[in-house]
Amino acid sequence: MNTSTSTRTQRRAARLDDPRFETMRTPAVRRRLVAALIVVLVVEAAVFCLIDRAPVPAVIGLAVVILAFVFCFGALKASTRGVEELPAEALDERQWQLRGEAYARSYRIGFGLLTLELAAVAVWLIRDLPVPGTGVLAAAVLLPFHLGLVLPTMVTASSRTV
Amino acid sequence: MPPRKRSDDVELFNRLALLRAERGMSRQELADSVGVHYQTIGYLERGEYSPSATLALRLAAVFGLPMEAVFSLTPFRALSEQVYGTQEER
Repeated sequence: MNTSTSTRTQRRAARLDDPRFETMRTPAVRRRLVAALIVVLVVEAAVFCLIDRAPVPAVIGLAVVILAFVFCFGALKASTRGVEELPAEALDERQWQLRGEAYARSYRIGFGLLTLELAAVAVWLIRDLPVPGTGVLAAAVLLPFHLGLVLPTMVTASSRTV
Repeated sequence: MPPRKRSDDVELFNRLALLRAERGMSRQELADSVGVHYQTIGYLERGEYSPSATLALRLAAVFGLPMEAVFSLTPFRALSEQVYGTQEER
């Protein structure tokens, strides 16, 4: 790894390990942040479903959802000290082990959710239900992407020993 | 050989907290000297994390002691017992 990348990594690690975020690092606060992020994702899905019927309020809603998402996700990353995203050289052996466990759990949860989504699509096709609107289709593509983005952080934050 | 479950892991006892207090070191100082996060020292002291052999050797080297003086698979005797012996011994 070259020097500039290493410096950037150290800077990122130091920012995520900032003692000012210590209040967010208790298990109770982390659980609340995970719950808040789940709510944000559910609201995002609901807003996408409304986008065909009321485009303007839905776009305003989406803007609010994006802000809430950025805030919750940032707070959650600070609460886990970025263990799930930092490269190996910024972590010690315990954090490395923790990250491995978090990714293994995320994989299982993500695989389960993806299976559920594919099952829903299969049922939709078998029953020959009407084609869903653009919003639902967009949600079906974007939500798994967003979930994939936040799942390792959410699982790490749910861990007792982070 | 079937994979070993984590619940089957043997508990590893250590004297890190005692040695650190003896030498007046903070967790941060000890963590810096072995290259880990200060939280990891806390987890080690509470017995919630078992270190790799490399980390255990590094920690023992910081205190200038052999590894078996810092880590053990059986509980260490209390310091008072070692100094004064048990009532039965006395």
